Amino acid sequence: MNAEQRAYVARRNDVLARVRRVLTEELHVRREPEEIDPDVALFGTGLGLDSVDAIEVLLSIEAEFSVAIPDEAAGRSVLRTVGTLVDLVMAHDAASGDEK
Amino acid sequence: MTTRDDVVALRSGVVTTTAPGTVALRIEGAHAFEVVDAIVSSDLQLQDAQMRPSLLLREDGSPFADIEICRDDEAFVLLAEGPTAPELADYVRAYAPAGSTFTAHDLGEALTRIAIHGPYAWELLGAWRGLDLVGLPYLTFFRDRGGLVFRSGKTGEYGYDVWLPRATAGEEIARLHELGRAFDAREVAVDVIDTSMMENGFFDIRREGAWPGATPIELALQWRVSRRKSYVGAEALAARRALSPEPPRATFVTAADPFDKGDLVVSEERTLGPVIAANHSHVLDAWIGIALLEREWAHAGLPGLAVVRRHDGANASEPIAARTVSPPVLRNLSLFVSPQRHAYASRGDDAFPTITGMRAADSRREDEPR
Repeated sequence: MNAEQRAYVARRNDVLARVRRVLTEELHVRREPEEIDPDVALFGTGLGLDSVDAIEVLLSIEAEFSVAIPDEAAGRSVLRTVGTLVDLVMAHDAASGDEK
Repeated sequence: MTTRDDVVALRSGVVTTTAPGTVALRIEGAHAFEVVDAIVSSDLQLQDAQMRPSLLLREDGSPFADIEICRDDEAFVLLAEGPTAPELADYVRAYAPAGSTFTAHDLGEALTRIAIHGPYAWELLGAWRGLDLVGLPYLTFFRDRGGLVFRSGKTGEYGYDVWLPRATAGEEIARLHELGRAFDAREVAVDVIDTSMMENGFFDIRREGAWPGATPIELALQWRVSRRKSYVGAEALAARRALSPEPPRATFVTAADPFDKGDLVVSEERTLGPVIAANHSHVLDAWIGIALLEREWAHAGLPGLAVVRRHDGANASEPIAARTVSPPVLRNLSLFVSPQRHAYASRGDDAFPTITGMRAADSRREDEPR
């Protein structure tokens, strides 16, 4: 793994761990964090969250990562899976030059 | 008419299909709950008329059937992909707790299935079966004129599985197709459904589910397995977790050039894992696949990856650039189409967001008068 890949994986693992924490501690998803695979759906199938949870997910992610979801269309797109939430944060990092 | 036309219809209008070959087994009797609970991999907490995706596993932990459990009062219907109805019934009888009183009946003997998918599937269903069904919540089902209507689907669009009495099915399906003309509805084959499932990240037991040795742990299906109960294959999964805390994980991969099952994902000189399923995506105008990558590398968006062709034992060719992605790889129109506000006939008047990823289909939709 080269330096660019190492940095990317480290940041992605950090974001994934924090998204999992939001889901288990704030949304009360009854799973161990390591059981929440990145591609699992948030709503319906998958983690089985509902429309009320959607607002909580958005608020929690915005607070945790200081990212803003620009509009409803973007919100519907990022609220698909754990991975799409992580993608949102990673894209925000890349756009702001804030990769850590 | 081409496969691409079928995909455009599915992603922007309505399609009907008899694919894939789903079977339906009704389990009832005094111990129906105990029998179903002993075999399905997920917790069995369902209200009447609710559905839940789950799995039936072999003793080695590999998937035997991709199922939806449907609670029908004190009975259960298992909608299953993978086994035939007799194979499914044999599995249930083989693993039912000793002394259980129950019956397992193949609903396919009396009913036949057709599915409707697409952003306007609800509207065609309403015209066909009645407006009451339009509001059916996701993962619920409804009895309808001697048959059953399941609100399900694995394409990312609105989806309904309609099981009709065989005696009247021919006439009913002819009427569906007649009504479908107003929706430009198309009958599509299993390849269109399979690719749509992959684009939206749905598990396909005929595809990645058949990869040797893969269990729900590697296939990223841990949400479908319980750690709180016993079921067929649970011991094998526990042993696998103990043996390998960081096993490979199924990860979605795309590339502009063709690749196939059995090819290898690499980074520089290092092999990261095999491609276990691949399809051409008309939505992406690219190739999409699932690779079983070493856990350290199993992340979307990782730079510097490539696929080495090894399909059918061919010699390694020049690696093709690839990238890992998070499914769904498109923004489904069904996210924005509302049965309360929209209609297929007036879709040209609605300002929907661009369907990200659907370049080819979008250009066609926007160029066409509506």
